[in-house]
Amino acid sequence: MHRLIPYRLAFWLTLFLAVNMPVRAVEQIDLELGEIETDFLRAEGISLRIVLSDTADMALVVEVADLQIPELGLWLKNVRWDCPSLQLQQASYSCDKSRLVAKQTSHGPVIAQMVVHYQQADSWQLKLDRLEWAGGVWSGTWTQENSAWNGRFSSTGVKLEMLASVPPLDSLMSAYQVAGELALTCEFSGDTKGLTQLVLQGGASELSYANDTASQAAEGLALSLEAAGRRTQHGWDGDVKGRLHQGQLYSEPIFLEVGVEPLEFSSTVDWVAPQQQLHVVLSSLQLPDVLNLSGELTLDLARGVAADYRLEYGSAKLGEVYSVFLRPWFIGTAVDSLSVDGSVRGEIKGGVDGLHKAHLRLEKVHVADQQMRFGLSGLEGEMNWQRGIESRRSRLRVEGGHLYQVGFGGFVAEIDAVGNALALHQPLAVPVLDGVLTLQDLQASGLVQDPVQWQMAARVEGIDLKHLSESLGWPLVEGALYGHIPKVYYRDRKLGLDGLLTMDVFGGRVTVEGLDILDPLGIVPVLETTLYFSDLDLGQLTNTFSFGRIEGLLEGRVGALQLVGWELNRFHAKLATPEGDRSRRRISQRAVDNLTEIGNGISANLSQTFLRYFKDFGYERIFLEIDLSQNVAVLDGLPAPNDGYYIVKGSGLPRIDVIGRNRKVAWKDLVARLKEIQLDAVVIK
Amino acid sequence: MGVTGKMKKLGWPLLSLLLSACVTINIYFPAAAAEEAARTIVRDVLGEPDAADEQKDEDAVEQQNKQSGLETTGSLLLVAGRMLEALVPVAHAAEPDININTAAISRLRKGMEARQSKLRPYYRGGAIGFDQAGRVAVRDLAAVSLNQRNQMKKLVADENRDRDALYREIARANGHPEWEKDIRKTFSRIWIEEAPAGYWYKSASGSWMKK
Repeated sequence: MHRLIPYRLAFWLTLFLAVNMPVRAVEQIDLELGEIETDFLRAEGISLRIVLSDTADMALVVEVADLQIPELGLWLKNVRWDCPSLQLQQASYSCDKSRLVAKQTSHGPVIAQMVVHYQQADSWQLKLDRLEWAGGVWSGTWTQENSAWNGRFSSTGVKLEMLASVPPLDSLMSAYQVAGELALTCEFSGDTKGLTQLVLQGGASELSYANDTASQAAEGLALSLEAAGRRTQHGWDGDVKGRLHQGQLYSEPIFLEVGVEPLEFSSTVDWVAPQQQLHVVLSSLQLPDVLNLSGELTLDLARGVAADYRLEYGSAKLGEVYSVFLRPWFIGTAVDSLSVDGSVRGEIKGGVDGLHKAHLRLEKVHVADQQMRFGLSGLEGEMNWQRGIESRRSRLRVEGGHLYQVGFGGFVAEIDAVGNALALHQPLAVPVLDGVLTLQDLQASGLVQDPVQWQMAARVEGIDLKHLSESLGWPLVEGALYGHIPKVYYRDRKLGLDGLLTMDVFGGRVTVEGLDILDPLGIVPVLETTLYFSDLDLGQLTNTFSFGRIEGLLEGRVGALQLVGWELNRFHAKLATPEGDRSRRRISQRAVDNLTEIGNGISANLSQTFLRYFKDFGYERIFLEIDLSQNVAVLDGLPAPNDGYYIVKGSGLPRIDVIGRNRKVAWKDLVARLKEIQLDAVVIK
Repeated sequence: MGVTGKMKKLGWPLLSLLLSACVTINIYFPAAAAEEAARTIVRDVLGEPDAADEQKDEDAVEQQNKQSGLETTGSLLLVAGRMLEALVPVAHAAEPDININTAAISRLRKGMEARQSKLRPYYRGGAIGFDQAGRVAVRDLAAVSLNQRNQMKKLVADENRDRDALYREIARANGHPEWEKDIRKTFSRIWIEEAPAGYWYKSASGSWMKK
């Protein structure tokens, strides 16, 4: 690069000539300095004008057509510095009321009023009275004393969006759209090696930002910040305090709105330059009425990750923690609409590869699904988890709860959690309706990352069917539920039971063989199972349902039973008097009427015939087969003449046969028939 | 008179003709009926019915013909088919139908219809749109205020849960759980076709388009 003359030499030579001229024959000196280029800046079209007057003072005007400071990303055009009164005192030069104007710059117009005092190359002072730049007003001082320097500046009303392209902010803010106003006071000092001390105090208002995908965003933030730092042998250390007064924050998927109480934090930081690591000791971070945090973390800024962290947390309002920090992660699952109450505290540790260890203590926690599907009350205890190795055993105590309308009592669960899985340490006995449901061999996985799946064995002992039927709003059924289910599992949204559930009811037994529920907590669960009936006492059964008394035994099977949204969709039922049944078999008038209505759609109305004088009738066999599919029920019974089928094949005198003639009936019509049959105290749904 | 009697009268020439023009009609997935069912549901759910588009109906018929898998052998298919139509009084294949009148489907439809008024502003604002899997996808999070985003995500998650269940239940209600994929595909097309102007959808190439 061509230089006309060294710029410093030219400047001071001109001044020297101007102030030492014995005779002021020349009133104005104009110098064209051409261009200057250093490591720091490049300037073109430099001109200097010195205007002499009769006093000792002189006026100085420096103009630069194009000034560029690449390291700061700055360019200025048509820069003009006016010094109306340059004062010379012995070896020093002062300009008390100078003015700098650059209307075209990379960051908006610059207008500055400043005081410049120059004594020698290593001792000078710059005082900036007023600088209008980046939408705000700046002022400050810079004093150089030999090798030491210090200064102070303050600014108000600075537009952050106008600073976004100024290094080093440009690299920090390149991925974000930022707007807001900044007010800042900064005191600093340094030496030949650079900055040694820095004290910052400031705040931002109406701060908003968003990245390209809007996954990180904020609006209307008002925050204040205090920071003090000192240079150390390996880098920097200092203290940082902050306060978020108002505004909304969104960090996918968490949304946080700062309300009446501000979010506050205080911390100490230690910057280790060689490793590019920032160690932060978080003394406290308080989100009033929601969460308190403390701990420490090390940020690896070279890789942009948290190298390690340890955080202690606590909240007396677990419901708020759930709403703000947990629920957003659960959206779309069965636990995205809970009412939660209670306290929580604990600790987590982790590193660049994720969570390493977690401890959780719950106190007086109540959880209720807002759709009333499940709930837990009085949940207390601790959970421990450690990656890769077995952690200290977890213990949870529950006072009670419910699953749909079925309530259960208190229990204590001891759980071993390892990695992505957990297991019951010992069988878990849950009191249910005067009986006990014992769960054992629980193995759950996919708790952290993969879809949740679990399996266990279960034993059911003495669950009272009367209470169960009361809970479910069914007709009251006397009896008890027993069963051993070697495998209960949940996988691919399906709850499955492999094994038998047995109900001792009506003097006989009902067995549930295998049971699958697809999407059990969904809006349309699909249940599939097979039921077997053996030796049911029709006397007890018909008394319970007030169907019209029938004596005898009944056996049968309901196969391919499918409930969709808890409503019958498909089944194939076959109910019959057992072969070789030797019990007394009698059927009442009303039962005959009801069975006739089921088979044919109209009642036999025996009470209007001479048969009304007979209380009941003997029968040889009852046989009814119903195949429901596609909303059509196909009925069948024992072969009867003329394409009919016996539902009740009578015996003795007077003999009553109930013969069905219609084999196909729309399911809704059959349900209507069931609703119309004469039941005393039961509403069939 | 039965088919056999008429055939005797027509004699060997015609029999030969018919044998050489053997027609096999295989009814697979009833695409036209599924489309009609899907359109009924989608119009009810969106609640912003467009005027009936005759072209769509024609396309639907054409699609049905394709799906019916008309396979022919011999060059006299057309003549033979018309002769059969004239001579054989009852030779219709049963019109396939899709049942959408079950309690579970009704419940899902009601839930989806009730949710639309809440979803509509997000559709119109471009925050969400229809994808190619018959679901709703988030298109532009920035179009939603910060405090509304999780509410919107919950609505989308619930809508997708119901849509998944709807496709599954329609297949199940019609005795063909294996149709779920075809029903989803049909719905995915109909959601986009029936979407009002201004709604966004994902094209087959994966890019977002505005109707």
